[in-house]
Amino acid sequence: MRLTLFLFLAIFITSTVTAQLYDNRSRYLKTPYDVDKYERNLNTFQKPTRRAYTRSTQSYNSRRSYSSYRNPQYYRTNSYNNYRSRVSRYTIPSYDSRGFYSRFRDPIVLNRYANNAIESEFELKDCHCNYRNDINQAYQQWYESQELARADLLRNYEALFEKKIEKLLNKQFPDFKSAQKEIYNGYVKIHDNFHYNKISPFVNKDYINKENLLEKNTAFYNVAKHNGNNSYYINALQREVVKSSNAFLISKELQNRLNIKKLPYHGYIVDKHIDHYNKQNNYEYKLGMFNAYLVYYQNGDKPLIARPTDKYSQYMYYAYNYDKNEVLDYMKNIIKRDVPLNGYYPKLSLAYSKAIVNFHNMTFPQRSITKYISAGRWGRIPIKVPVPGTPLKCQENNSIQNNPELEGIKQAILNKTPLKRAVFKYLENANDDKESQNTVLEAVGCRLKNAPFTWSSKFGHFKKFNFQTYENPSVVLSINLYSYLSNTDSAKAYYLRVGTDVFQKIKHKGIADVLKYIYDVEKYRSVEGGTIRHFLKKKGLNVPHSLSDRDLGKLFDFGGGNTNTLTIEFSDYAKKYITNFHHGDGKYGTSLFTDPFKLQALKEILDGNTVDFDARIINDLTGKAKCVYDRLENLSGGFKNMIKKFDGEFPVSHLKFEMTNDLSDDTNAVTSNSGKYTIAIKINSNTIEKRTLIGLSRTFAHEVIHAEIYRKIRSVGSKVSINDFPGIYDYYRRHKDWQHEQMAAHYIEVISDIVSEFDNNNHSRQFYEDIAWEGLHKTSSWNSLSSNERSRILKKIENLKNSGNKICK
Amino acid sequence: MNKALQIICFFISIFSHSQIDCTFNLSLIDANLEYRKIEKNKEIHFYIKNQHFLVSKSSMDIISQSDLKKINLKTINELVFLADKERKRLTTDGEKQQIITVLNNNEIFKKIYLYERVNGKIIRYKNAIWIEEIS
Repeated sequence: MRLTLFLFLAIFITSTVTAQLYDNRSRYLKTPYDVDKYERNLNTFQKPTRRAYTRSTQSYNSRRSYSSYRNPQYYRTNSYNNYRSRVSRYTIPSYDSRGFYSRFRDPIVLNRYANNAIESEFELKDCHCNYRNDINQAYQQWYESQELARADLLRNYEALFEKKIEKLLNKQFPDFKSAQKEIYNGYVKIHDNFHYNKISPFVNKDYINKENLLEKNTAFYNVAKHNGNNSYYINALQREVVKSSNAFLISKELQNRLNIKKLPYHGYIVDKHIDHYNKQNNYEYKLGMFNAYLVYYQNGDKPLIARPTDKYSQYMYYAYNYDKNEVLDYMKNIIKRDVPLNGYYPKLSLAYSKAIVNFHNMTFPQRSITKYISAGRWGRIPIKVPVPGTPLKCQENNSIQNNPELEGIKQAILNKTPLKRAVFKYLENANDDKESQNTVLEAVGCRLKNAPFTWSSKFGHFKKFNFQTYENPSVVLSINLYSYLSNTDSAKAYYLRVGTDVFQKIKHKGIADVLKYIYDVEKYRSVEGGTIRHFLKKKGLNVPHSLSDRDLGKLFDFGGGNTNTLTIEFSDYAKKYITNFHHGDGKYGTSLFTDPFKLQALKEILDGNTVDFDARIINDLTGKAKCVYDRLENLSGGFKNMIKKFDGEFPVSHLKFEMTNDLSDDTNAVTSNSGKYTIAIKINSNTIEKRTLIGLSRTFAHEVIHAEIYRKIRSVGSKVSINDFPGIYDYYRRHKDWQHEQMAAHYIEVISDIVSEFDNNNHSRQFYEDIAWEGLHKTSSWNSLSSNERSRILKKIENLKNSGNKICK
Repeated sequence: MNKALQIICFFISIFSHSQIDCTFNLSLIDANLEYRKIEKNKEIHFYIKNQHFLVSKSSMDIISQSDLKKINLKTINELVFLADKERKRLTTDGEKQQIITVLNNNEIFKKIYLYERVNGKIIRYKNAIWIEEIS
C-alpha cells in the first residue's frame, strides 16, 4: 500500500512537473534581454581621465600635428574615446532585431502594449523602444506630405483670393502677391490718419534731433576755428558738420512732407502687413485674416457693417508699434534722391556758438582734489582729480562720468525748441558763467522731478524789485536783474564807502524766458505755482494756502522775455477774465493776496468768471442777462455812474452777478447779503427768456440799489447811525419791508433814468417811471398813489411784458 | 411717499439765544408755492414762504419720533415774528444813542435746526443758515 502510494505520488509529481516545464518551455527557451548588463559590467569600465596635450620640454618642434592624435598608438583601449564608444552601446538604444523580436514574441508583453495599459503599470526596463528611429522617420515623412498638401491648399486659396481681388479692383494681377500688395496698399490708406498720427511724432523728433546735432557740430566747429585748434581736429569737425547737415536736410524734407501730409510711409506698412501674413503658420487664421482684410477694405472700415468674426479679425496686423528707426530709414531712402544736399549750415554767432558748447559741456557742480601717482624715476607727481561738488537742489546723482540725470536734463532742454533757444540765449548772456549753468540745471532738474524751483540763494542778491504798479497792473512782481549784488560786492562797497550801484551787474538776463518755457504746459501748473509762491515769499509776499499751487500756476506766469527783468504776471488765461486790473484802492501788489474780495476774485477767475478789480465786481452772467449787463456797463461809465445818480458817491463794491435756477417763476432776481466778502445779485435763469430787455435793465437797477444799501450797512459794521445814513436809519426803524419802502419813496426817478438811458429814450418819461414801480407794489408809497395811477402803471407793465423786445444783440 | 405728504411732515426747530423753539407745519398751505427743496452738490437749499435756508448734507442725522415730541417746534410765521421782535428790540435800544443795529437773518438766531420727514423718518439738519435775501 505504501509502495503504491509512493509510486502514485512519484508519477503524479513527475507528470505535473513535466507538464509545467512543457507549458513554460517558451519562457526558458527564449533569450532574455540582458537589462542589467551595463550595471553588472559597470565596474569593469573605469572612466579614464581625459588627457590634455602638453608640449614637450625638449623641443618646440616635437609638438605633433592634430592628425597625429589619431594615430593608433594614441588610440588606446583605455582612452576616453574608447570609453565613450563602449558606454554608448548601452546608454543609447539601437536597433536590435534579435532583441526586439525575442522580446515582443512574449504574448504578455505584447498584450501589455496592445491593450494600452496605463503608464503607471510600465516599468522602464520592460520598455525597449527600439521603434524610435522608425517612428521618427515615419512621422517626418507624414509631416512632409502634410506640408506639401497644406502648401497646395494655400496656393489654391490664394489663387481664389487673387481672383476675388481682381474682381474687386477690376484689375488683372500676375500673381497673388501683387494682388495682395495692392489690397494692403488700399487698406493702409483707409487708416491713413491713424498712421499719420503714429508716425508724425517720429518725424518731428527726428527733425529736432538732427537740427540739434547740426547746431552742436556747427557750434563746436565755429569755436574750434576761432580758438585756432589744430587743422586735423578742425577738419574732423567740419566733416561732422557736413554729415549732420546732409542728415538734417533729409529730415527737414521729411518734416516738410509731414506738413503737407505726403509722407511716403505706406510702402513700409504694406511690407509689414505682408510679413505678418507670411509669418502666420495657422492657415485657417492666415486665410481668415486675409479675408477679413478684404471685408474691411470693401467696407472702408466703416462701423455697423458686417464684419468678419472676431476670431479672424483679431489676427489682423494692428500697426500700433512701428519700429521708429525702420520707418524713418524707409522714408529717408525713398526721398533722399530728391533732396538737394546743398551744404546748408546754420549761421550761428560766435557768442551763441560758445553758449551751445558751454551747454553741451556743462556738468553738475564739481571740485577737484589732488592725488599723487607714482611716476617711476620722477617719483610721485600730483594730479587733479574731479570729484562731485555740493549737489544742486533736486539733484540726486553725483557721478562725474555719464551721469544719466545730467543727460536727462540736457535732453529735456534739447527736445523742446523754445526752451532750448531760451536756454542758449540765457547762456550766451551769461558768457560762460558757472552760476547760470547751475541755474539752468537746477530749474529744469527740479521740474523733471515735479519740485518747485527754489532759487532762494539768488533772490537775496536782486536788490531792486516792484510789486504791482499803476502803469503795469497785470504784473504782480517785477525783479530788476541788473541789480544783482553778491555778498562780496556789498562788503566791498561798504569797505570802499561807495554806493552799491557801482558793483551792480547784469546776472541771469533772459532767465524769464527759460522759466516761461519750462512751465508752459498745463500739466506743470502745480510745480510752476509752487515756484511762483516761493519767489513771492522771498520778496515778502505770502500767498495764502487757500490758493493752491495749481491755482497760482493757472493765474500767473513768468514773463520778461530775454531782458533784464523777471516778472510774475497774470497769465493769458487770467487776462481773459479780468476786465479791469486796477484795484481802485491805490494798494497794488500786496493787497492782491490779503484783500478778501480780491482773493475771492482770483478764485472766480479760476472758475471762469469775469472780474473787475476796480469796480469790485465779479460777473458770472450768461446769455441775455450778460448782454443786458454789458449794455448797462457801457452807459456813460457803467454801473459806477449809474449808482452815483441816486447816491452821489461811489461805489457798490464786492458785487457778484450770477445766474440761478433756484428761484420760483414769480421772482425776477434776488440780492443776497449772506456772502462773506461779496453781495450777490442772482438773476432767475428760469424766466430769462420771457423777460424784456427793458424789464431786465429795470431788474438790474432795482437789485443794484439793494446791493448798495447792503454795502452801506456793511461799511459801518451793521451799526447805522442817524448821521451816517439817515435814510436807512429812518426806514429801518419805521418799516418792516424797509428797503422797498425807501426805494419806492426815493429811487423811482433813479431807476427810470437808468432804464430810459438803456432804452435810448424811445418812450416817454412817464413810461419809464411807471415801469420802475415793478416790485414795489406792497409799499406805502404805492398805496398812496391814486387808483387811476396804479391801474395805468400795472397796465404799462403788463403791456411791456407782452410786447416788449426780448432779444438782446 | 408722495410730495404732499413729505411737505406736510416738514418742521423747523430754532434754538436761539433765549432757547426759543419753533415749528412750521405746511399742511395748511399751498405746497407748490411755499416750499421748494433744491439739492446742489453738498448743500440743500430750502425755500419756505420766501425765506431761504441753506443746510449742509453732512450735517444731517435721523432722530426718533419720541425725540421729536420733546422739542417745542415753532411755525415759520412765528420764526419771522420772533426775528422781527428781536430787530425791534435792538432798534428801540439803539434809538437812545441814535445808532441802530441792522441784523441780517443769519445773525438773529444762534442755531437753526430743520426737521424733515421722509418716508416716515425724521431727518434733522443741524446749523441751517437763514440767508439774508431780498427780491
